[in-house]
Amino acid sequence: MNIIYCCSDGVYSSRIMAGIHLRQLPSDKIASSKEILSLQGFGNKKLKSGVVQYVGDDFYLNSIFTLAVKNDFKIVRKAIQDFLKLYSVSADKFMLVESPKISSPWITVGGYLHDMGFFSTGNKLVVNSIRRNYPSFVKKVKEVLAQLD
Amino acid sequence: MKVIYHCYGGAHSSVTAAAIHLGYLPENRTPSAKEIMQVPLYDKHTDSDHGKIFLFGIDEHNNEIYVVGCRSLGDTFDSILRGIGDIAGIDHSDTILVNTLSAVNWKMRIGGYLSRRLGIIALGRPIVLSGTRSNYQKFVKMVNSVKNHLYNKSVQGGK
Repeated sequence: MNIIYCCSDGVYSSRIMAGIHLRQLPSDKIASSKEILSLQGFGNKKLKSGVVQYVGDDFYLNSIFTLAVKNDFKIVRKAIQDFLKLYSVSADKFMLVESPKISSPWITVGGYLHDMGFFSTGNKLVVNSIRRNYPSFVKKVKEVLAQLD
Repeated sequence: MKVIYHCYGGAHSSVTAAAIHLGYLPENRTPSAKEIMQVPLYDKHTDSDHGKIFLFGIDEHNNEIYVVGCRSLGDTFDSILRGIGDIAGIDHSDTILVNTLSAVNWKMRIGGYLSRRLGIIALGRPIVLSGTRSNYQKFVKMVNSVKNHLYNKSVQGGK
């Protein structure tokens, strides 16, 4: 199975979920800022938008990816299903997981500040926002893991 | 080969390009608004159709021609599908994705928005039709470029 965690820019929420899935981040407590910032690829805006980024294989040899889908998750999911059909490939090999909706605007503001070169302030805002919403990421990953059982 | 023309809503520019490709619309002149409206799917798709890849027809060289609306994904759409194709082990070298938004003018944007998004068809449709006719030669040029690419590929494949 190929599990693709999706969020708007592919480097924050989706990377966090991939990290929890791969046990790079804890699921029984909120990850520290240091743990989050040390995730490979976290906040790396150099990753080209739309690239399906391989992160690693889980315990059951499922391949875990992240993907930036802007605000068009449903569109991307439909298009991928239809694209695979064109080649008679089963869409069952893929699970696309949408990032939970985070009510805080700080993750967006932090991302913009990061883009503008204010890396430290930007990252701080993003990480704080992620930590505040961490349980919702864990919940989502647990739902995915439950589906895989 | 598979050619996927994609634009924002899959209702105007991608449909126009696909229709020219398949000969539903002429290459040597600008068609009337009535002729354009007779093209299947023109100004028909709604939000719920976005992301669905529609088979529009098969050209004289047996190439499959598709249209799809992918909102603001643009060239990112190409990258996503190719990435998924790679993971699935698909040889997608026979697929050409064509972003038709470069031929879209402000009339098509405004008319399309009014007609498809807001549902004000009586106001939006004449505007989008006028925009399509204004930029028609751009679509013809785009399609000819795709056809040349297909021809070159088939020549290379035949060697």
